[in-house]
Amino acid sequence: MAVDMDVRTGEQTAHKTSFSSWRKSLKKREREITAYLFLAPFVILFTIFIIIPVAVSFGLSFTRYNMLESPVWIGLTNFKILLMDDDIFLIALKNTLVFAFITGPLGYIMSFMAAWVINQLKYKNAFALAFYAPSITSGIAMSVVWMYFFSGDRYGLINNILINLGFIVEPILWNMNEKTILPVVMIISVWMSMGTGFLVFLAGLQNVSRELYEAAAIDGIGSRFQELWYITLPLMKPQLLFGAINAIVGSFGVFDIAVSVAGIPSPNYAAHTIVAHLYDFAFIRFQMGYASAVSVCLFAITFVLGRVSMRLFSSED
Amino acid sequence: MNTQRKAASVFDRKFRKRSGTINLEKFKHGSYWSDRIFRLLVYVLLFDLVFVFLFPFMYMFITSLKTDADLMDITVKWIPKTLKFSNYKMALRYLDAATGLKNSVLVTGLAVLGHILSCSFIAYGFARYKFPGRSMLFALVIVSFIVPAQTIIVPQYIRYASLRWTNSYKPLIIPTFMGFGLKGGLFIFIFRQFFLGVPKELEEAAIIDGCGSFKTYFAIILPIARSSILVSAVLAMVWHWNDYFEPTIYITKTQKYLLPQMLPSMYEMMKMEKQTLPFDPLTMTTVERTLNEAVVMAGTVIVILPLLITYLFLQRHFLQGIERTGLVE
Repeated sequence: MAVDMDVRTGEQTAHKTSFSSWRKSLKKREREITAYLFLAPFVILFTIFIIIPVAVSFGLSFTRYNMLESPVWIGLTNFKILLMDDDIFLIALKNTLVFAFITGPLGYIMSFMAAWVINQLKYKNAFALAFYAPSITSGIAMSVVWMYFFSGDRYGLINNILINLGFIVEPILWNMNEKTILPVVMIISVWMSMGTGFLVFLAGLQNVSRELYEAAAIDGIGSRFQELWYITLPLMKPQLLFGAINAIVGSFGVFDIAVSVAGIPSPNYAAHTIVAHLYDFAFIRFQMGYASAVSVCLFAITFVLGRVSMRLFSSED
Repeated sequence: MNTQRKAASVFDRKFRKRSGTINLEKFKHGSYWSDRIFRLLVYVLLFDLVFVFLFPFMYMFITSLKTDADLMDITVKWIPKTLKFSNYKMALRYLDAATGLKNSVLVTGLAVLGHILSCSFIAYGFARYKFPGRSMLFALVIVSFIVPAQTIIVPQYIRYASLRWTNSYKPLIIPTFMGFGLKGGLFIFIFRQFFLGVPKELEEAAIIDGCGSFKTYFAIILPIARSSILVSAVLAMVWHWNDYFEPTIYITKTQKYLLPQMLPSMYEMMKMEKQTLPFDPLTMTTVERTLNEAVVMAGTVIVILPLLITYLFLQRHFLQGIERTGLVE
């Protein structure tokens, strides 16, 4: 993300100024103080509201704590239960992973392809609006509309079509049937996934200079797909990274669509996700220690995936 | 060097044959007809996709205006025979939309303001000043948006509960004024990208003219960050308006619900309404659907419409802003 690079150049200039004269170093001191003043609200409150709570939560994950009595240290028990005995967490983990590894890449590739295609057309903005519109609506509201499509009786749009086409005889209870709940959540999520990532791709594509394509044409690149592979993608690494992180965060944080489709808990936990599990333990049962253990797991997974995608898309190579 | 010249001569022979001007268009897209077919295919595919994307909206708007008779009549798919605007009146009542709208506008507006003020301010510090610990702090900013907000919800909840902030809008608004809140890290990133591109001479001139650092920032730097401000404001607005997770956790009092939160309780009420209906053996199955569907759709429209309209007004500038800031680069 080009962070490292400008830090380096900053260091060089700082070196020049700090050794040139004593006056300048005093000035630098002044600038440092102003810098801290600029960042102070962030640093102080980030510490109070994020760092300390996160540290506390990490600590709490080794305790039993219900917010009324003081926490009791129980060592690794929470994690042991979580990973060994809590079948529902394992279901949630599996569901979340299935969900993330299907909708994440699918939404990601779809938004990139859509951005790539409409970037070459007239009326770009109209198309952009059509694709972006689902993302500016509230998930809880639109999943209601989708539930009418997936309604369990014969009049539900999808059942109706499938019956008319002769694929099924009996209507499918989409939001009751264990096998169909998760796919329904996925379809709605993919529909809503052309969000910020899509817009960033579009902007990135627009910033690739035309001359590069012309130069590449001279160098013998023939098809649009070669153009895409050899020129566009390498130039868009920062945007691709941003999109990937966005997709990871989005797909591991899935909650409101799953809840409004299937409720908490969903039939036989078929749409139970990690965040739903977290919600269940933290805000329904108030077992904060155990919930902290769940969030430590979620943090670890997303952090690792975030780092992996940073590695993959880093502009160093 | 040699190969380059060779390539250039091959290029000349191929494309300067007739007129002497370069026909790059032809060169790039292969033959005329394959290009035409490609384009046609793309348009067909794209319109299909656009249809799929917009279908739920069309369905929602149309259904929200249907009368009971239209809803039951299978022949009425798209154009209702009569428009029943009273569905909206009913939905407004069931939703308690006046309260919800007021609450949502208040929270979203303040949150957007908070994000803009704090994130740009912090980003300026990151972009302009060199000080020990800068890279570490910035790494923290990055971390704050590569992990989902839900991971820190437990500690945050405990903290806010101990401050007795639950059932108020403080947990939703105050963090935005401190530069985090919902995806605040991203806004810091956007502003920082912009400030890095601003020439230093601008501030130097201001300082020579006797402006202090803070005055320079507010009077000179912030006003030129217009496109970043717009982009962040639109994104913050969308995310805060639609956020469901945090409000459900912090706000449990019905009078304080935000607009999207009111939808589920509206469905509950509609279900109750259904049960009090006189039993009708003929339409037993359909009464339930009709009563719910049109009004529920109207309610959904009410929830998403304010944002859609605002977005439509801002879209052109918003897209331009994203192009200009690049968002990430």
